[in-house]
Amino acid sequence: MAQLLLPRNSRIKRGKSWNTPATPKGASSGRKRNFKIYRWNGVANELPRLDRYALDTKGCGPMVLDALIAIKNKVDPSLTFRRSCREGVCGSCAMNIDGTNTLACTKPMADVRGTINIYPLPHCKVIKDLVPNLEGAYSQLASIEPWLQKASKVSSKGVSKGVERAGARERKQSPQARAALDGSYECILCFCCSTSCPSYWWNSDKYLGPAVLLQAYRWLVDSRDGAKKQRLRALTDPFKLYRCHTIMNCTRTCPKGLNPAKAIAEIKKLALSDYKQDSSVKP
Amino acid sequence: MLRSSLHLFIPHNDKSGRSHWITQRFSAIILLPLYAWLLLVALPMASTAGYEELLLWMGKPMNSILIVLMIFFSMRHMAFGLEVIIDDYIADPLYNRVALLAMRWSTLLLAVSVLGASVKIFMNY
Ligand code: SF4
Ligand code: SF4
Ligand code: FES
Repeated sequence: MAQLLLPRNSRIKRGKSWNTPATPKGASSGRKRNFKIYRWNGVANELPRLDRYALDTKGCGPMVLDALIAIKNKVDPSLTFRRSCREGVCGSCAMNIDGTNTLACTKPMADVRGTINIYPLPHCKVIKDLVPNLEGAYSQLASIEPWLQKASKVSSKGVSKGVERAGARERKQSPQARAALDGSYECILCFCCSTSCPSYWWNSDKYLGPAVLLQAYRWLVDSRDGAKKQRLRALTDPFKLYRCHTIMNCTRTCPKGLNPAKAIAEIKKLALSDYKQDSSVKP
Repeated sequence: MLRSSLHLFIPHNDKSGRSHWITQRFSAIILLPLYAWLLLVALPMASTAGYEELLLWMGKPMNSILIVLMIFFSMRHMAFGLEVIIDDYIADPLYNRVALLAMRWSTLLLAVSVLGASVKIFMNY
């Protein structure tokens, strides 16, 4: 049944207040920025809290991730978050900043007026602080088989003769065919989009969500891939694809400027032409 | 061709989201001109004509056909839409089944009673 009350540990209590250690005499201090950051230590019975930090941004880089690192180094070493590349290519630092899912490393502090509110990606189980559990999303990604597949060879009697031997021939792709992948191969799998999608919030166990569907599309339009039909078939149950109701949160939030909603619409079109083919073959 | 077009008319309960989606778009397209007719022709008529006059107008074969089509596709479109909403929000399999059954039966009842009324008007006027 639809759950009307939030689970107990969704209530966030007021947390501690932290200050940057006072600047030594004679040294100049920079602009102070205030942060409110979601904290939860992974203990089941404890409520999460919202800690307040006042950070002296002198010597700190311009992005929200720079501030988080400065807080961890100078103020509160227990603050936990993921990051790796710090330049928007790894997708680790996805979180909800100022009400929008985005990458902390490409979000300038200057874009946020007043206090900077930071939460983990919405509607995910939290492991600790700003670290969400993305196992479900990763296994959904694995379920669409995101790798190049060859067409299985079928004899005239419909008996599968197995797939072509790996490396049997080179698979060339023209620049035009390669261009079909633009807009989907750039996805860094940060899951900002999926975790912003209301449909994914309600049915993340059955609906694949925009990030995984964008990847599904990426393999559907790859001219070298031979499993198009099987890939489409695998998507056309009532939930995996068709729970997308074109709410467009995904496209609005994508920090890489991609358009998963359009890719989903394209998959629906592909499924439509597949349907027409199907019903015209049969008597 | 016949088979695929039949598919769009007959309520079906298959497990593919694809035909559900296609059928819903299909009824939406059919409903567009029907609602245009409702707004531009039928409603102005209903608001100016007297009771008897309106029944006579509704009893004309062309109008009866349009009304029946509109009701059939509206109810079907509504049932499909409500099904999506129920599937979205009610995850528990038992509650889901109950809600779907209740919804289907009430739309069916509604459709049958309105269709019955228009057939009655057609026969009597
Ligand atoms: S367009 Fe589809 S995938 Fe994107 S937010 Fe909306 S429902 Fe989710
Ligand atoms: S589409 Fe954009 S928001 Fe979604 S996972 Fe890829 S990069 Fe992240
Ligand atoms: S740290 Fe790699 S995307 Fe932000």
